Order: sequence, then structure tokens, then C-alpha cells
Amino acid sequence: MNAMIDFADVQGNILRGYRMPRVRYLVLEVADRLAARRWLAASTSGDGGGTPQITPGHWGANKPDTCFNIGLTYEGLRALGTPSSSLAMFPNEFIEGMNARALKLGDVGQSAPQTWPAPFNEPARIHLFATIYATEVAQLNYVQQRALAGGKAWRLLGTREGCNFPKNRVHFGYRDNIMQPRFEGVHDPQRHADGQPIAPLGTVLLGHPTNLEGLLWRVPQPEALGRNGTFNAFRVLKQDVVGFEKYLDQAASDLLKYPQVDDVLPPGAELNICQVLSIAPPSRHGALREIVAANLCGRWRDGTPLALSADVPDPKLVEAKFDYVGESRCPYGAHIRRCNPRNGQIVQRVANNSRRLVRRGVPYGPRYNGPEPGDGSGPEPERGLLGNFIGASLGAQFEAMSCDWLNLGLQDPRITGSNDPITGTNDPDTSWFDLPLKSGSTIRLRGLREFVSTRGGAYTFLPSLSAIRYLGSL
Amino acid sequence: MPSNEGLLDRIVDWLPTTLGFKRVASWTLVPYWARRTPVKPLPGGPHPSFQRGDNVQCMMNLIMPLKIKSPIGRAEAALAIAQNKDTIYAGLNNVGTVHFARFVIVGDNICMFSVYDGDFTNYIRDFIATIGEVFNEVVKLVEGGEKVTPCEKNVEAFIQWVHERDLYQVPDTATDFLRDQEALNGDRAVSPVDDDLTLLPRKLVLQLRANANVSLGNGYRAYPGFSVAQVRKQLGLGW
Repeated sequence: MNAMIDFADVQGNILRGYRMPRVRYLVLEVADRLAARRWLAASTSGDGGGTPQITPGHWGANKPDTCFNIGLTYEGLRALGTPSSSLAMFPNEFIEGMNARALKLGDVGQSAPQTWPAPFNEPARIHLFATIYATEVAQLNYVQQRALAGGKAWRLLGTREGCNFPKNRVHFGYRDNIMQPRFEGVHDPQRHADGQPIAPLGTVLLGHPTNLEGLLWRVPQPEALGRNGTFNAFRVLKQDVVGFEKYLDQAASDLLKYPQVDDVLPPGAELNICQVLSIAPPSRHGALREIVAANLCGRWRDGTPLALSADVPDPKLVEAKFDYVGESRCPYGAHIRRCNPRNGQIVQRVANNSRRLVRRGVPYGPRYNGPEPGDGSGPEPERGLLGNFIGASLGAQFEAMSCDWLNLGLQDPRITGSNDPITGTNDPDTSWFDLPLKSGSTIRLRGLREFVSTRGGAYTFLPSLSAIRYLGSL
Repeated sequence: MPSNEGLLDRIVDWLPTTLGFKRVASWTLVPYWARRTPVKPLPGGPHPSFQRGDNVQCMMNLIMPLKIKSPIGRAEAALAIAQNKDTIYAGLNNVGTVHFARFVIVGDNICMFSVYDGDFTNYIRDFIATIGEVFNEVVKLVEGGEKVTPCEKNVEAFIQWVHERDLYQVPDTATDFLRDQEALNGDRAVSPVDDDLTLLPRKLVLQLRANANVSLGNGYRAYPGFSVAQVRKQLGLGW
């Protein structure tokens, strides 16, 4: 056990991925304050028969069959009767809530909170997210039934459910969940040498040294409430897979007309790309689609980083060490480079490696298997990602990344004024993305749409187990 | 167009233009309005926007009353800036998003005016991380500054403190001003703003009563907004 941290005091979903295929979020409102407090106390009591037990970071020799964790909104803390002196110590962005921060997050137009469906249309009523992780739906149902047994403590406002696809693929077809930050005192830096510096524990837990040297985030008091807790931006992110695939088609067709197309894809190179990515029959158009997809993301859809292999995907390199120092072939505006510029040159030099987040996401909705038979006029089922973006400071990490990097491109003058090509709030009339060529010049792609739109979300506090006991004892 | 105004209308229009009426109204009418319809000061800084051009070259106008209201207090403030000049230049270089920063002493206030790119909280946080000790040197001379220093250990409180001292930027259009007023109503706000334009003068007077120092507009640019790094790159200065 590390001296800095007691893993049994930290909720398990913060420092580890459970690797369970099914996840269900219960969105709950406090129905009875006293009963809700008793429920919280019971959730850490160690009594396995009644209320589901919060899964801690340390579970001993046997991994549980199901896992269970909670997050509280500011309104939830208030509803539980948290003292006002403690509430006042939470950061502004958490107090205001995700809906109020819409402009910063790019939640405008079809992503605006005013368009969010229930239960996210009534943010003041959302008090607690209870998350169940399991292998089978029956297990999810069983834990949900236990969590809501008696029906006195909580009122169920709604649920969201997701299921992982094989091989960590997500709706747009990319392999996801390749790298997470590794934390000082938690992970062995030699074991996952992805080249990124080990992150101070304060990147993800309150009460520990942060990535910005000498800076400490405020820990809500009493210590039992704030320490070892963290914040989560929960997002329901609808993904327009059909629109994305159509865009790749269009961009590939456009590229074929460019005089420099052979610089993008030398004659014959399509065979290699199509073979690695199992695209049949191989074609220049098919390979160009994948080149565009890879450049927008910064990784080929099989996960190979462009920074290491820009001409052809190479599965051996998926988890290899890379950086953006020097003349990287990864576009400045690519999604993964925008989110995490690693040690590459950025405008805000002090911010390198300071805005990293733990990301826990699970797809929802049916997997896209190509165009449906018929004329395509029927409505597409909604599909997307239930995303959790976890960090000790929502303002310094999630919002800073969303606001200045994803949706303004402030970190590099070559992309300032453009949005993230995949997740950004793009308008086809004004959007652009520069696809780099070997020669050093670029081809500017236009007409990017808003492929990802927000359909709900909330800022939550992920309390330590000590904090849950404290809240249960109020 | 022929006027339908009667004598009474003309008197009502004329009265507010007289010095005597303005004085009497300041002493009696405005406090009466303020008691009947209390107005909260509108928050400072640029209005949140999703237009990219609005999110570069943003203005910060800080007015911070000095603790020691005398030439000695003002001299201390001048000295704090002068002694840290090199650190300030280094900070500007490292933060990378500031076009310029000016320190001005007006009366017994030390003022900091700057033009920066991107989000306000990121800008201040990056500065704390880079030259927090300069902030500490200046803010310790300012009323209430001791509550938020050292800024490195009070990051969130310090950013909020600065935000509260950043001047409200009065929009150029009546509808935007009414929108800001309406936003103060929070959940009770009506959208779209459905307000009586004839009340605009009263609302402006009451806001200026609550908010004595304001910025008129959010800065008028002679050219479209560019980031610091875009300017430096274009001029070949490195970024």
C-alpha cells in the first residue's frame, strides 16, 4: 500500500477501469433526506446483503462480480444537508453545474442544455448518479433493485445504459481506451512506458500535489468530506456515425481530385492500408477515407498513432511511446493532440501535461454496421458515448481543455479559430481542418459537421468512502 | 412626423436635462428606485461567447483599492511593480496568451488592465502558476488581499477575487444590456428577453449605482481578433 493514499478510501472507478462490459447509470433525486443519509451510511457498512456496497480502489484478492459507485451533484450535497460552510468551499464550476457552463463547453445549438431530454432538463432535481458495472443485464437489474429497495431514500429520475464493443472499439470505429494517465504512487512507471510523465496524484484526487508546481486545489472541509474525492464531468454524447462516415466519403472523393493526392496516398499504398484495416475490396477511395479518419483523430482506427506511423497503420505500435516534439506527422488539430498535446510545443507552456483527465466511457445505442437496407430515409437510432471525464479540478482540467483547446485551438496558432474535428461544435460553413502532407504543406478540408452533440450531463463530486460515511452521519 | 406631445410630455422630457433635476433625482429618486427594485452588480469580464473572434483579445480591467490611501501607499504599489518588472516579462512570455498588461495608479487604486486570449480563469491560473509571487506582492497591498494570498494555496478563491474586481463590460446594445440584467434572475429569467425598453435608462442608472466603475463596451478593435501566438508567428517572432 502506498503511503500517500489509502486505496480502500478511494472509489474504485477513479483509479482503475473495471473492464466490465455493461454499465448502467441511475439518475436519482433525494426523496427523503434522512433515508438518503442512511442509505449512504449503509453503502459503506460492509453489509453485503442490503444496499449495494461502494466499490473501493482496493478489493483484496477477489474481483467483485459487479461494481457500484456514486457521484453527487452540488444540489445533491445540498439536499443531503451538507453544512453551508462546506458547500461554499466547492469550486464555482461545480456549484454552478454543467448547464450553466454551456458556452465554455461548446454546448450550443443542438447541444444546448435547453434541448436535453429528461432527466437532464431538470438539473436542480439531479442529486446522485449511482453507477452499476456488470457483465450481464440481469446483474444490473439485481443491483438496481437492491439500490432502490424500499423506495424511500431516492426517486429514480431516469437511467442511461451502455455496453462495450469488442476490442475497445467505439461508434466511430476507432479503438479507444488505449492510454490513461498513470499516477505517482499508484502505477509502476516502468510497466506502461508510454512516454508520458507520471502524473502527480493531485491530478485526480483532492488533497495531493497537483501538476502545476506549487499550486493546490481547495479541499472542501471537513477533511473527511473533501480529501481523496474528485470531480467528474458526466456527458451523454450523441455520435452521428452516419454523418461521420458520409463525411469521410466526401473528403476522400474530394482528395482524389487534388493534384497532390499522390502525396497523401502514393500509388499502390492503398493495398497495404486496406490489408491492415481489413477493407475489402481495396481501393484508393477506401484507403483515403481511412487516412482522413486517422488524421482527424491522430490515430488510425486500429489505434496506431500517426505520430509513429503516418503512412500505414501498424498494430504493433498501438501502445508504443510517442510524443509531438519536433516534426511530428500528427496534425496539430487532430483530436488526441488537441486533448493532450503531451510535451509538444503549445502556447501556454505552463499547461503541458496539466490538463490530463481520467476518461471512462462506454458506448450506448446499437453498433453501426454500415448503411441500412432501403432508401435511408428512416430515422437513425440514437447512439453515442456515456463519458466520464475525471479530474481534481473541473476548471483547470476539463473546462480548460474544452474551452481553449477543443473549441478555440488556442494552444497552437496554426489551429486557432478551428474546432476539434471530431468532437467540436463545427459548422459546415466555417469549419476547417488542415491535413498535413509529407512535403510540409497542407490540404485544408472543409465542411466538417457537429459529429458529436451533447444530450445531457452533470458535474458530480466523487466522494471518498470517508466522505460517504461523513454524509451518512449528518 | 408631426409631434403629438402635449405640454406635460414636453415638460417630462425636458426636466431630466436640467442640472437641478439631476441633483434632486440623484439624492431622492435614485435611492428610492434602488430600494424598490434592488439591483445586483453585474459580473465583470467579457460576456461569454461562442464566437471564436470574441474569445481572443479579451479585456481585463481590474481596479483594486489600496489599503494605505496616501502617497506612501501609492509609492509602495509603484515599487512592487517596478521591482518585479523582469518577472512580469518572463511571466508574459511563459503564459503566452497575453497581448499586453498595464499597471496604472488612479487615486488610491492600483489598476491592472490587460488584453488576453481565451478563458479568463485559465489566464489567471496560468499566471498564478508562472508568477504567483508577483500577484502576492501586489495583492497584499490591496484591501481584502490578505484573504486570498498566497495565491498558489488559494487558487480558486484568488481567481474569484480577481473576477469580482474585474469591471463589468457594459454592452453596446440595449438588448444585450437587458439580457445581462435578465441573467441575474437565474432560473426566473425569461427568454427571449421581454422587457420594457422605456425602463432602460432607469436600469442603467441603477446598475451604475451598484457598479460605479464599468468598462464601456468590451474594447474596440481596429482589426479582427487574432491570438498572441498568431501575431507572433506571423511576425516571425516565435511563439
